This record gives sequence, structure tokens and C-alpha cells, in this order.
Amino acid sequence: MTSIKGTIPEELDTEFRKEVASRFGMRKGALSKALEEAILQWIENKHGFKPSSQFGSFKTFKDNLIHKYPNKYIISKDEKVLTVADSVIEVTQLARKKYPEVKKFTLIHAVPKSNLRRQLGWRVRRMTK
Amino acid sequence: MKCWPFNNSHYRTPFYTIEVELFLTVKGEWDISPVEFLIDTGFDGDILLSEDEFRSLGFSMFEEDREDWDMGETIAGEQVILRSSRSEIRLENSTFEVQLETFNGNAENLIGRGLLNRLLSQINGFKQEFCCSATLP
Repeated sequence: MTSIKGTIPEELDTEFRKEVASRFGMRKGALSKALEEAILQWIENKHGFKPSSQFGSFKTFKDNLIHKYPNKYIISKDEKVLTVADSVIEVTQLARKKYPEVKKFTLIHAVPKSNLRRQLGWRVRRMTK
Repeated sequence: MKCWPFNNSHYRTPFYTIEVELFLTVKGEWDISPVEFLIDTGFDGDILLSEDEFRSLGFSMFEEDREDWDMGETIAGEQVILRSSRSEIRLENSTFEVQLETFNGNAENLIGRGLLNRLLSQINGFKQEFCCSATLP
């Protein structure tokens, strides 16, 4: 857990606290709970997906896979291993064949994730007169 | 070595596009129509797909976990989340395993250094073409 410090207009703060009180009552932790919910909703609206409610659990799961199946391709669902293979083509075909009812899988390449900065291009568009 | 003519559309100075075949993991087969990609040495990934093509070609079915998605920064300074999947591409008779990425609102198909660094490429200004080979001549 961590704390966030920021400044918002007083009127918005009053409105937010009223809303929190009406939804969660005046109990301890209500404001934090509402703030967490608001941040999750904001991320979902911006990117179209719900952030994980258990941050970090996938990392532990993947670390175990890297140890158990180094360099392999793995298909999982809800952090359960479904298929393992040496190539993407093989592992996705196995998953579709064995689990035709599943519409969405998680694909994992069992290699450590790089934390280096990403670069999305260096093109600068020239403005025409 | 396979060559494609310089692309003269949109920009004052021609740029380079190539066509590669994608393996459609959702169907378990190679896409019959090759996809056109802009060569962008400023992009450090393998392949960046437009958001529409990422979805319509079915790569959402086999996405990597959200915790494996990277954050990117556009030239405008906007931070974006790079959804990702993996597949293979075919160039001449060679195949390469690639990471396919996209982000909300992206309309471009790019091939970046992640893939280019595994190929032999040549900008031939005399013939106005961009050439690529998956093997040494």
C-alpha cells in the first residue's frame, strides 16, 4: 500500500466526500476505498480494460514458469497452465484444439521481462506550408 | 533478396514499406493476404499493428498478460499502454517469431528494430526500392 498526495478544488472534495459517505458510510477507510475505485475506473475508461485487482500475483506465477519451463511458450487461463510448447504456432494450436470453448487465453513466453525504456519511433512530421 | 518499390504516398520524401505474411493464431493458419508495414528504425519492438487489425486479425484471443504489457511514449509525449500478443511472420521462405503490439488509437503498421535486426536490409536509392533478405547472400 502507498499514499497519494495531490490538490483538488475544495468543492470537488466536498462533493466526493458526500458521495463516499452515501455509498460506504462514515467508517474508517471509506475514502481510500472510493479513491481506489475511482482510479481503477479511470484506467478502465482510458484503456478499455480493468486493471488486475491482485497486482503482482502474475509476476510470481510467471517467475515459477520461467524456472519450470525456460524459453517455452505457455498458454494459461486464470493463472492455470493449459498447454506448453516450443513455438507460438504449436502452443496456440494445441490450446484451440484442447479448449475450443475458451474465447480468450493468456499467452506467456517464459523469459524475464525487460524493464528498459521503450521507444515508439522518432519520426517528426514536417508541416507543409 | 526481396524488394519493394519506395512508397511515394503521403510524404514529400519516399519511405519504405514491405509486405509480410502473418500467422493468424486465432485460425491456426497463415493469412492469405500479406500485410503492408512501414519500416521504422525508431520503433524498438518487432511489430506494431493498428488497433483495428490487431482486433480483426484475432490477436486479442492470445494476448500476453497485462503485467507483461509495456508502457510506451509517443513523440507527442503521450504515454500509452502497449497491448501485446505473439505470432510468427513469413518473409521469403523464412519464419520469425515476433511480438505484436498495439495501443488505443494506433492506426499504423510498423516493423521496428526488433525484427529488422534479424534481417539483411538494403535501401537502394538508385533503383528506388527497399530490399530485405532473411538469409545472407
